Amino acid sequence: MNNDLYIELTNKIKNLQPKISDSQILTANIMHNVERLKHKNKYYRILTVTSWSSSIAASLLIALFLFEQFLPQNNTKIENPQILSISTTTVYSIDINSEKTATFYDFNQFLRIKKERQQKHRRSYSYIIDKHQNL
Amino acid sequence: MEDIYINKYIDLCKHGNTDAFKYVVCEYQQLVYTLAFRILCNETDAEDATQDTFIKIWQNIKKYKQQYKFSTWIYKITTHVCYDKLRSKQHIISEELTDFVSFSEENQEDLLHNKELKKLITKLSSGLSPKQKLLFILSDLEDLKSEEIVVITELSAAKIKSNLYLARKYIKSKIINL
Repeated sequence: MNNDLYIELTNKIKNLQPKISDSQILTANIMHNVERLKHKNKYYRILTVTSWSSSIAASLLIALFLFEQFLPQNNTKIENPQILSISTTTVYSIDINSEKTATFYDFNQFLRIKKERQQKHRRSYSYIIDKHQNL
Repeated sequence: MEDIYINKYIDLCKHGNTDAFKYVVCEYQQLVYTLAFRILCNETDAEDATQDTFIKIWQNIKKYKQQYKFSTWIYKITTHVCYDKLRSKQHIISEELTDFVSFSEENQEDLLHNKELKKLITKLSSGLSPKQKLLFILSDLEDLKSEEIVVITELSAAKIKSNLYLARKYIKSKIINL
């Protein structure tokens, strides 16, 4: 008995299909939203591509900046102690085998020779001047 | 509609053809609306759910695999949309509003027809859990096969069977009081 009533009721519901108030308006609304979404998607695609490319470029620039900032510091860290060690020590205490210190040693030697030459010149000039004055 | 024809339209939709999608909308609009109305028991909410369902279909059409029937895939999306709507608190508010609005509408005949259906479904399924209600609708009102219901609800066949048994038992007990 219950089963028959159940089938009867479910059949009644099946036959009573709900009616859309205006199916054409509903379709138009759906299509309007779909069209809007389509354009939005295009716009977002362009936006995402540009944002991605700009973010990649920005990160590359940051990486380059960091590279420039930190890598030369490492070089100076190597060079500076050498210069400091040279400046604090005398010419005679420098390790001549080292390439850089050797050039530094040559330069000092050049200065010493130049100084000696200048002194020699000065001495010869003063000798000539004295000779002239005596005359 | 034959599967071969609909698959052609789906392929066109996958390439962004809106005219093909319009055809799909016209074909499946009533099916979506009927299921949404049976779950939500409200005209405005059912129309909103129909719109949301088709928007989701458009957004995910590329994900559709032809191993399932297109209607099964549509049923799945519709049930998800309807249950999201049921979960939101707005459902209660809009239900109160539509009762007021419905009297000012022109097509009273359609509304009366819908109201009768709404009353009938509400009376029968008011005490059912959302899961049982969905299974009752899909199995006994939409006449879907158990394999399709498994795909739509993502429940095991055993769970479907037990829940459906409980739902039918409850409704049969209610029929006596009607």
